[in-house]
Amino acid sequence: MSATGKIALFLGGTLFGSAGFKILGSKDAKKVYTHVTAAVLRGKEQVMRDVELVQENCSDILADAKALNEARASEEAVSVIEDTAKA
Amino acid sequence: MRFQILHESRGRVRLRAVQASMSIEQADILEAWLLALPEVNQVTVHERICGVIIVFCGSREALYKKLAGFSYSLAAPKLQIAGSQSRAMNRAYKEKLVFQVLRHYLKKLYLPPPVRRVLNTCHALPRIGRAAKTLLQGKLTVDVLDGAALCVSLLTGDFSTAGSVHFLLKLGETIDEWTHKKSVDDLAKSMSLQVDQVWQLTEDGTQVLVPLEQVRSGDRIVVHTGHVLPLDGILEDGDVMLNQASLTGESVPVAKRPGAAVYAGSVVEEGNCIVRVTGMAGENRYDRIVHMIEESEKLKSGAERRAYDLADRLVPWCLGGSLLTWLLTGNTTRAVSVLMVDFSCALKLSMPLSVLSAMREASRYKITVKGGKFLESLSKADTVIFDKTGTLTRACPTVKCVVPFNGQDEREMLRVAACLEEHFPHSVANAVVRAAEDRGLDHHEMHSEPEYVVAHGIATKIDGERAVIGSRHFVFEDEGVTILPEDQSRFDALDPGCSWLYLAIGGVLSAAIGILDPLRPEAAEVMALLHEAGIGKTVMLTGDSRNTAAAIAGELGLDDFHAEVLPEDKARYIQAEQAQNRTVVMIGDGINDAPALSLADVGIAIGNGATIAREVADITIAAEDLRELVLLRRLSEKLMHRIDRNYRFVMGFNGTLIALGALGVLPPATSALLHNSSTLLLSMDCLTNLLPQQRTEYCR
Repeated sequence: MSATGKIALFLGGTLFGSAGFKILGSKDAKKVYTHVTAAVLRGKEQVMRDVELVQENCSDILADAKALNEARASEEAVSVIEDTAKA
Repeated sequence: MRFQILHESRGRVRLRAVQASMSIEQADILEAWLLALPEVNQVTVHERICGVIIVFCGSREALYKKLAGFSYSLAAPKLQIAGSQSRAMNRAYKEKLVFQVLRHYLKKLYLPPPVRRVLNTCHALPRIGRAAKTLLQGKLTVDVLDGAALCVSLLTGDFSTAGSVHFLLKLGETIDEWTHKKSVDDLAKSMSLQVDQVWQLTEDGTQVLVPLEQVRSGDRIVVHTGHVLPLDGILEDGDVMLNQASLTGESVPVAKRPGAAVYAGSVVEEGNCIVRVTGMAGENRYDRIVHMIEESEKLKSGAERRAYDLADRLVPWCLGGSLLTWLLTGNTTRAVSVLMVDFSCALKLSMPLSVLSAMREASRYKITVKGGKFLESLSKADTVIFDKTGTLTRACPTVKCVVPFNGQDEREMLRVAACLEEHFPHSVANAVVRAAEDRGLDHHEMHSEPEYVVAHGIATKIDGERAVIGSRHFVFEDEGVTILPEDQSRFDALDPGCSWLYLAIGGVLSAAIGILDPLRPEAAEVMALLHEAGIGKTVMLTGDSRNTAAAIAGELGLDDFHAEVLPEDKARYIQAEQAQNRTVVMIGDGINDAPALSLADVGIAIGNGATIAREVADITIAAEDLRELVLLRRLSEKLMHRIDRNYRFVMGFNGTLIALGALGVLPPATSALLHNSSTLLLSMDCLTNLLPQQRTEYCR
């Protein structure tokens, strides 16, 4: 690394050491943290909603499948020739 | 309210409530309201997405019309909602579960391997520590097995196996905790909804029967012999003997004098008292029930205990097996895959879940089971003993006629009888009170404190004269009541088809009340079904006369009967049966059945009987239908089958896994996965209903 680069790094480090922590702890930064946290919580809630939506849709499919099988079973029951022979 | 229809299929509809967001309270209200509709069988409310799934029968349009008229504020006051914390609990656990799974797979996808290694090690260390601690205590438990598995996988550098073992263990723990809490909660919810009534003392000194919820702190309530104190309070008047077994475990009653603090759940064994209420009904009631269930879980069934013992006994074998594998093959992977399979958690998880689930299923039929032990005894029962009145006969005998003597007025005598009887929880007493009500006779308390003579009758004073009401034996032999000569012929002509209750004032017979007590219509069928279900002996014990008892025994096809028995005789009969190594079930409803109920292997109380009977009983059933007995027997048998099957499955499946692991066919991660998922699936299956789904009255 060239000498200028090293000097720049050193200055940058000093600047961050003195001003950087101020910025990280500032009111504006707190706002950012709040927003980020809120976004994470929203994301979490959204995931749970998606899970429940998937759950509901799956239960729809299950209910329809059951209805389908019932309908098939009753159809099969209908397509029987009744025994009319007299003993 | 507006609902959007999202999906319709036969007998089922999925809706979306049109509102910005649904609170947990709203979800509870909506669910309770829907379940109260006769055509609705099943409701699921997903409050996060305002989703409602309804399984119903009957007309779709009618249901939609009712839904349109729904509003939270209108519905809420009319509904009784127990345990609002259960939805929040389910929500929290569901979230925990989803994120546990998500986190595991996200970590696997995105975290660089070195970081993952550090994380997996960090997760594993506490478990290894716990294992070491138990080992130092000289115990070999499942913890040791888990710790050993994690330790070996870390030492061999198999971090991903350590990670997935940890994940599966954690997942299993969460599901275990959830299912357990949910079962307890379901049970408590269904139990806390039973409405109780109490005698409240109004300002002007009269007693009125009010629902428990209406009693406020500072109100005065009257509690009679054989009743349970419904609320905490201060004893204001009356010396009583209180049984505080449900609070302190001490079964010897203690004497309480006015000014003493008394607590809900204690039973008044002797005397009557007035209590100034200090605590209100509500939350603490639900909590108390949860507490009671958790207590009763300690009465684990023998099958559960055997599972626990076996589980712990299997641990050394598992450890030894894997050590042997390692010594024989010198292959750590094979040794670890044997370690991964521990029978114990499958046994320990599936047995209590099966029992709790059976208890919950029973509560769907309004049957309350106080411990798994009793279901097991019930499945082995050989002898079933019935009390007659209130159990075999309909819970509501009726007053057929009132015959006045000594020149008394018929209506006046019924009024006096009702006044005496209303304080005592017996079906005959209820009948007298009802008859007075039906005839429009309202009565004010005119007597001094009534005294209850168990199995005989009631004595008190009216205008300074001794008044007694009760059985022939009590009134004529114990009390020495006389009959006026001019009444003798009418007395002799009393219809022998009725049971008679005699009322005497001032030592002279004043009236006879004819009680007609029809048998329950299903009683004969129930006896046949019980015999069919393998009950060897059905017996009736009754205080009634021999003639009546013989007629009933013949009609119902009972194997044996004993008439004119006293409470202690009932208990003696049970002891005699038990001495012959038979498992005895006793079914009764009155104060006089209490000793027998607590002595029997399984004591079953009828729901609307005396509270003390319900308190000492192991199982309570609702009053409507004796067929519940047969149902209960079937349920207990199916539970035992399920437990047997669990044994076979757990031993068979995991044994195979161990063998395959030792042979090197299955790598450790796969055997852990197969073992854990089979355990989870088995546990889920243990939570399903044992009996075919019951449909609501409306749908039949």
